[in-house]
Amino acid sequence: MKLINPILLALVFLLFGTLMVAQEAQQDKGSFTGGFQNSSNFFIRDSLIGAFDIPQYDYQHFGAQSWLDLGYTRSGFDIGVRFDVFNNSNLRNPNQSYTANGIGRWHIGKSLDKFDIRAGYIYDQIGSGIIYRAYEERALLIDNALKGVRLTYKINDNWNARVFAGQQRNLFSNYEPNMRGAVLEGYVDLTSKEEGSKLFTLAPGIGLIGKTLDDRTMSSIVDIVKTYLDEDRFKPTHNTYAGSIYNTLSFGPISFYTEAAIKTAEAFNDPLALKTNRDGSTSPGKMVREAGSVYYGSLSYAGNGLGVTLEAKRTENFEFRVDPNLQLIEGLINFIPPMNRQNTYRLTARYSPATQLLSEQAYQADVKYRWNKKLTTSANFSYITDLDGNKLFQETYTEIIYKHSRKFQIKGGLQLLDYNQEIYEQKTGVPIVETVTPYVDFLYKISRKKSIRTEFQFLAIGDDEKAGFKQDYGDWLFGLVEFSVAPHWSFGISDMYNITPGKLSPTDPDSGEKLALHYPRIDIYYTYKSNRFSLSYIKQVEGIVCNGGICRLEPAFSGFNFTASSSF
Amino acid sequence: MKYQFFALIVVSVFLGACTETMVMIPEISNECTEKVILVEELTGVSCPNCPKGTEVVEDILALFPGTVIVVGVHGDFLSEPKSDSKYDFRSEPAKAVEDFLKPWLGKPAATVDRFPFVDLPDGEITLINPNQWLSRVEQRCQTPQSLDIQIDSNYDEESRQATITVTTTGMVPIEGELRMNLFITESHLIDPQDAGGLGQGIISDYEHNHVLKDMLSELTGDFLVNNLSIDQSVTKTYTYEMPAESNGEWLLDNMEVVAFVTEGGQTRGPVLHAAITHMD
Repeated sequence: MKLINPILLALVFLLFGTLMVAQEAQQDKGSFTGGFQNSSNFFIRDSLIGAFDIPQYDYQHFGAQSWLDLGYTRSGFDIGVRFDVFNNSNLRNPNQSYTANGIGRWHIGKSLDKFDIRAGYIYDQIGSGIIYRAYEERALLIDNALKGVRLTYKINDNWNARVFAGQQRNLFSNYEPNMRGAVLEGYVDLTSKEEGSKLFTLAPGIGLIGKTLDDRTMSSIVDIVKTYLDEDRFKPTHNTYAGSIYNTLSFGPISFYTEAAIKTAEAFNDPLALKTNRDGSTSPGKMVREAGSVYYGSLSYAGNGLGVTLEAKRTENFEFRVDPNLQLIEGLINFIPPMNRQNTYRLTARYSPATQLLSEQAYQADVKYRWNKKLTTSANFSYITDLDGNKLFQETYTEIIYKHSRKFQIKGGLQLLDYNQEIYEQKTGVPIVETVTPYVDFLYKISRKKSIRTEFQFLAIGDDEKAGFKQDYGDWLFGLVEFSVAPHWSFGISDMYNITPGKLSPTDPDSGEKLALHYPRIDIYYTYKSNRFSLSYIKQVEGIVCNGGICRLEPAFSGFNFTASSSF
Repeated sequence: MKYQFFALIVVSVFLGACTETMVMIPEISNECTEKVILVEELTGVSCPNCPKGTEVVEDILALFPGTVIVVGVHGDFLSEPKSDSKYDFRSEPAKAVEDFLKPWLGKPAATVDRFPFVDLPDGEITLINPNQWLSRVEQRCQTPQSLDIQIDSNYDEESRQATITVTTTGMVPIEGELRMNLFITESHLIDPQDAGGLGQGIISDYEHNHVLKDMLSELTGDFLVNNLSIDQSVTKTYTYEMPAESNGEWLLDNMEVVAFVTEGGQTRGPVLHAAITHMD
């Protein structure tokens, strides 16, 4: 696919700018915004921890990715462009090197009375994203913006509708299948006049998405299905439709979100479906054609210091990609909300479940209570199985926050976790990972500008009796000290110590003994106005990196990382 | 009026295309030319999904008898032996070939004649979806044979040395540089294999076939000839000293010699033709 000529785009940018400047009669002077982000890695080979055997460690030594966003709004116009640069980057695939640059995104929009017209690369979402979400998540290099057009119509103050059509972005190109969608969303206040306003409200919505496969993609499906025996064959269709109906009901302090989504039958890869082989045996993994559904509900209460959220979700055959041959995080059209706590501490976040798209039944309860100005407690419980009842994930997480004074705050708690590593990481024959992780976080404000924060965590893991070791990498101890001098500087030093090595811990090549290794990290952060820079030395063990239930296995890292971000 | 307007748009966008002509699924055709296809299977003992790839390979061999030669490349990725493995299939040649065929996203993966099929990204030749391998073989097997390869292997039991003579003969005029590649493979090695992808955990008595054990040519192939005309023959001779038999490995009966000719000079292919013979 031919890249959009950057010079042409710059000219368009200038033309619009000039036109708008010419409209001197208007008082709106417009606003110019932008942002820059860079992450550069200096790779230092460390074969002991598995940081080797990719070009960056072997001979490139440096990899970076950068984004520059520019946007201008004036008189109802909204234009923007983003320049993306990848230099020997390992962000696209942690085991490979990727180099490319060009216009990664652009858009032009104009509001006209009740209409809003937009063309280019468009981010959007229907409901909670179950049937459609076009968004950017740079940490995983997800940017599945719709390259196309969108028309939004404001029916009245409470209702609006929009339609869109286009193709999904794929780095500097786009996937060939076409998509179109329509959404109607509203707001209804059912509160009687005597009761005041906004006591009982509804925010209903309905969305539809259609996808049409291109000939090449259909041909690739046919190429696969024709290799199957008759019992596994199906006739694929070019078009797939997904619809979702959703509503947020608010009644005083209670909020109840419900969404039901269905998808017509389409071809997708089911790793567990049994395929008949030519010798008569069967083995799991084949392309199937099935319809799918997701049902999701979230009930929450907030008032009098108490916050409660209860969630439930059922997912069946809802793998929805532009091309069924794509895998992992490629080509996803939708986003199914995760049903576990999004943890931030190093060890409590070590085992995070990826949202299962084909078979998942999940529940989550979150309770938070503020006893007084000093003391807050919270607890979270999540439980995830497949539709056959096989346990995938369970987490119990507690937290106590005590603010003794303005000077210091202490936060601590305990995490109990079960994690089906065989499903989430395709590690064969391993038992369900069981961990117990106590943690404590202490913040002390030395003065108005200076503060020190420390973290301590200990992850105790179960035994893999068959292997004769602790599960996975064994037990971990983590400590961090962070010293901040507001408003500019922050320094951090931490160490993740594999105190009791496990089955997958590195082995001493001479003695054959499992090694108890340190994974240190040193960070320096500098902030100036809306600019932030960091320089870090990192030695990091292999692990799962997740953002909102979208996860991938990141290999070990050894080296320096420099980041810069700026907004204007 | 406003509501009808949007309802009309929605109906026209969605319902207008609800019915469509069903796609017909053709049968696999195994009517091929005389050309022999090379399949390099990127696999590994610790790769839970690789047995799925091997099943596809077995299907290919059953459907296209005599038309396909398979080489199992146990490089570095997911190839470390299991705790009760007798053998370590990893080798420097296998690792070099595995790197040479990059980029690929994971295993199992395979090349079919190292051919850059049109649906692969520019510069890529490795197929990561095993479901696609069979149809790619079907596609490739329609290619006319352009040259012939004859392998003559003479093995001396005492010295455990094989003298391998490979003769390439043109069947149509071929322009450009041709390169000769020579692999040594071994089959019928019984050893554990991670088969988590099949839901079978670790299979302790898995039969590993076509395992790449050595490479007698350069990674990019040895220079063979510039331009090959009809009936023109070029002969190259290699010698190979087989390691001593150990624990059921390096058995003469299980050793094979695979030769294939690639075009394109320093590039990776595609493979014009391949041949195989027992090392005896």
